Amino acid sequence: MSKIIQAVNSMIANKDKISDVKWVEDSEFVLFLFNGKYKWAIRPSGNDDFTLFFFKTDLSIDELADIGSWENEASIRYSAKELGTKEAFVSFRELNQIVQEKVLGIDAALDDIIGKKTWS
Amino acid sequence: MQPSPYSLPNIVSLAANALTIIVSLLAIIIFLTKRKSIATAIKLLLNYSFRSTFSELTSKLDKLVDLRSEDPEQKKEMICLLNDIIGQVKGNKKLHVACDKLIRQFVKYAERPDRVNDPTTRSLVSQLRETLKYIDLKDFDGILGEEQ
Repeated sequence: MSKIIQAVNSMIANKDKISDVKWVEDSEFVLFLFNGKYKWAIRPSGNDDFTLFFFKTDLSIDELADIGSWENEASIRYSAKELGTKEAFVSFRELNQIVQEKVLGIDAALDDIIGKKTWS
Repeated sequence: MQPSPYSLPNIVSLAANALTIIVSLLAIIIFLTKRKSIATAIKLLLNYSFRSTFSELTSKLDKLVDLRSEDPEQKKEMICLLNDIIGQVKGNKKLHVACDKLIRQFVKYAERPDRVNDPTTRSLVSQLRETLKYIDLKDFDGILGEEQ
C-alpha cells in the first residue's frame, strides 16, 4: 500500500516543518527539507501533473541543488498522474504551492501582512 | 360407483406428476453437471451487487476530496459524506471486516468536526481507496475460480 499520499498530506498539515527550500538551477525543481532531516524535491510537470522526489542520501540540500542530476542518488520518484487518484493531484498541487510560496518568500511576506511573526 | 382410473382428472394428475419428476430429474442432472457454471453465475450476481457498492463508495470518496473544509457549508457536507461512507462500509460485512481498523479511524475523525481538515481527509480517503482496490483485486481472483 502506497503511503505517499499520507506522507504528502502530513507535510501539508505540518508546513511549518518545511525548511531549506531551494531552487535547482536550470530546472523547475524546488528542493526542501521536512522535519530537519527528510529531503524532497517537487516540480510541476505539465497537464496538472507534478513530480516528487524523495532522497535517501547524506548529501545536503545545497549539494543536491549543485549536482542537479540525481540519477546516482538513492531516491524514489512519484508522479501524481501515475498515482492517478483525485487526492494525489490535489495533494501534490497543494504541496507544490506551499513550497513555491516558501521559495519565493511569499510565505514570509504573507505572515508579515497578517502580522504573524514566524520568520527570524 | 367407483370413478374410472382413466378419467380425465386422473390422467391430468398423472401427467403432472410425471412432468414434475422429469423436471426435478433434469434439475438434479443440470445441478450435478453444471455445478461450476451455476456457482459462477451466483458469484457474478453477488459480485455485481458488491461492485455497485464499490463504485458508489468511490464516487463518494471523489466528492469528499473536492470539498473544502474552510467553507462551513462544504464542511457540513464533508461530515455528512464521512458518516455516509462509515454507514455504507459498516453495512457491508465483507467491507467492514476488511476495513475495520480504518473505519474506526473514520468514526473517530467524523466525531470531531472541529478537527476535520483537508490534508487529513485526503489521507484517509487515500487509505480507504487503497484498501478497496485490494478487495476488488481479490474479488476478481474469485471470479476466475481461485480460492478467496
